[in-house]
Amino acid sequence: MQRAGLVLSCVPAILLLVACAGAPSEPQSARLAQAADYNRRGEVALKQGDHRRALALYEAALRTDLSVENLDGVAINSINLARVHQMLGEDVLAHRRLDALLGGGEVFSREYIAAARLRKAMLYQAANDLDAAASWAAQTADLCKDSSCIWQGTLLNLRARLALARGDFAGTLAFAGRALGINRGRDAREEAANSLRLQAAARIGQKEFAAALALLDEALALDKALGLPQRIERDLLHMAEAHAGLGHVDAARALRTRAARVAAQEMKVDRR
Amino acid sequence: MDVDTAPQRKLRRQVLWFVLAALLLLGALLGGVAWKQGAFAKTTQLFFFARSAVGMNKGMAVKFRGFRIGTVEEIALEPNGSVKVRLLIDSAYTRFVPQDSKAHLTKEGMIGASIIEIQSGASGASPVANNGVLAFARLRDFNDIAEELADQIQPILEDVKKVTAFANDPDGDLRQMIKNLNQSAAALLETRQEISRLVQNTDQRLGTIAGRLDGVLVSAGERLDQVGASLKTLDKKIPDLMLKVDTSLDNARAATANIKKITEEGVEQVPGILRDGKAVAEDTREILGGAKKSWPVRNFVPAPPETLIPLDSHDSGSASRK
Repeated sequence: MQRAGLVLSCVPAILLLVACAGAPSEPQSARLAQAADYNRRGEVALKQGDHRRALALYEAALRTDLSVENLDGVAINSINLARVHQMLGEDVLAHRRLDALLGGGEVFSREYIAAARLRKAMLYQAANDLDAAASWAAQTADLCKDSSCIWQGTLLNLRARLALARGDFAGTLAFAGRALGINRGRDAREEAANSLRLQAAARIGQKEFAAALALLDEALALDKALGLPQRIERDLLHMAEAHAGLGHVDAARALRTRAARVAAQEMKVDRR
Repeated sequence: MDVDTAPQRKLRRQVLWFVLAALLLLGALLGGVAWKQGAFAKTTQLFFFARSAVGMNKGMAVKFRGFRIGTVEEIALEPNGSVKVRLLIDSAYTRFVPQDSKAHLTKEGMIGASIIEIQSGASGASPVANNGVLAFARLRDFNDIAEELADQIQPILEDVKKVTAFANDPDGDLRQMIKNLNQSAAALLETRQEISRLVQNTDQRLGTIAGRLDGVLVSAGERLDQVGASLKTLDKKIPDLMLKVDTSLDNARAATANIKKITEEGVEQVPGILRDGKAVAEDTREILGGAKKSWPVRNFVPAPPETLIPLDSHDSGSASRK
């Protein structure tokens, strides 16, 4: 018993020695740590669907990064704020965030400039301003010419979507095909599923319903694996459309019912 | 030398007998009166002490249950300031006066004479002895009751006075309220007259409108004939349309039923623990955050980098649900 008590009493002393003896790491800036904490909490709030809280937290992260001129942090949080504004339907504010970033000259890295331009293109595309979206997509492509650009697969998918919106099915298939290759190579499964879905939509537009169904089966499998209800719903609706095109009325109806079920469950979970 | 004659001596004897008889009769009369007055009755002397002799006087009656049983014989002021009252009670009635009896000064009726009323004590006590002392209490008389009543009525009278003054005040709320009520009643009367006039006018207008409506109805009847002809044409085409609508409605109904069923199931199935988990996760985050900022842990845990929300091409294609 005496020996055990002696060992126990030595534990705090040993811990203290270990702490002192350990190689001191790079002095950590409390401000940077605080900004990172805000950023991470913003991400959590966004996942929980609390957009207003996410907005406040990313705002706090941006202010903190600005106070220590952490350029990467400023860029990241500005783009994040633009995305949250877009989710809240505040497109004007979203553009303002991105414009502030893009007007900052070349102080930010190419990676984030490209990301900001791509986000602008997406904003315009979502607003159905196809010309502006195409313009910003082209500007993004200027910075995203080689495979080192991590946004290349996403950019190509966006251009495919723009082509689809214009009824250019061949162009859609071309962009989405390139995007699929890149996304698979990067193991970007979400974007790969997007590429497949875009290809399927183009095939449906070309009345190649059987081909579309094959693509959608693959997209659906990916989206299910990733657990993305909105995309599963979209896949099912495309499949219903393809089946309807093939004259499979019952199958089309069943798929639409499945899509409605997925949408209903997703809304319930969102409300929680 | 006087020599009584026989007739004189006879007269003298007759006068003597008459005087003696008169004296005897007078003595008997006096004795009877004295006996009647209780002069020969055997009495018992009792005392009580009071703080004041007000209302008491010598010779006043002492009564027991309404019967006179004695008198107040003497009232005297004692050296200590108290009043000593001596009573003479007929000894025949002392059996009704036990030792714990109380003497009360009271009045016979509302305006009767004051008397000393003997109130018996607890039964079983032995009769009071000669020179015994009784307890004394002054019962409330009419004056006391009247004074008490006056004390109680006084505040009520004051309140009544205030209420009357309030009611009579021409600027008071009550008078103003009555005045307003009068005005309202007058206004109501005018309103009723206005309504009567309005109803009368409406009757007249309705008569006019009814006349015009007849013309319109005749015209409408002609139009309806035309519509009837059109409907006959539609009747032939509707069955085909209805068939198509039925099919669409079936589809919509099936989808709606499924959505409803799914929604109901979801309400029951989504576990409440998700909400609790959120709170727990928040607490855990704070605890870990605090630990990470504390020495020496902060030296071992690298700061997590800030992350960008993934740029997803799907975002631009569909509006996000909130």
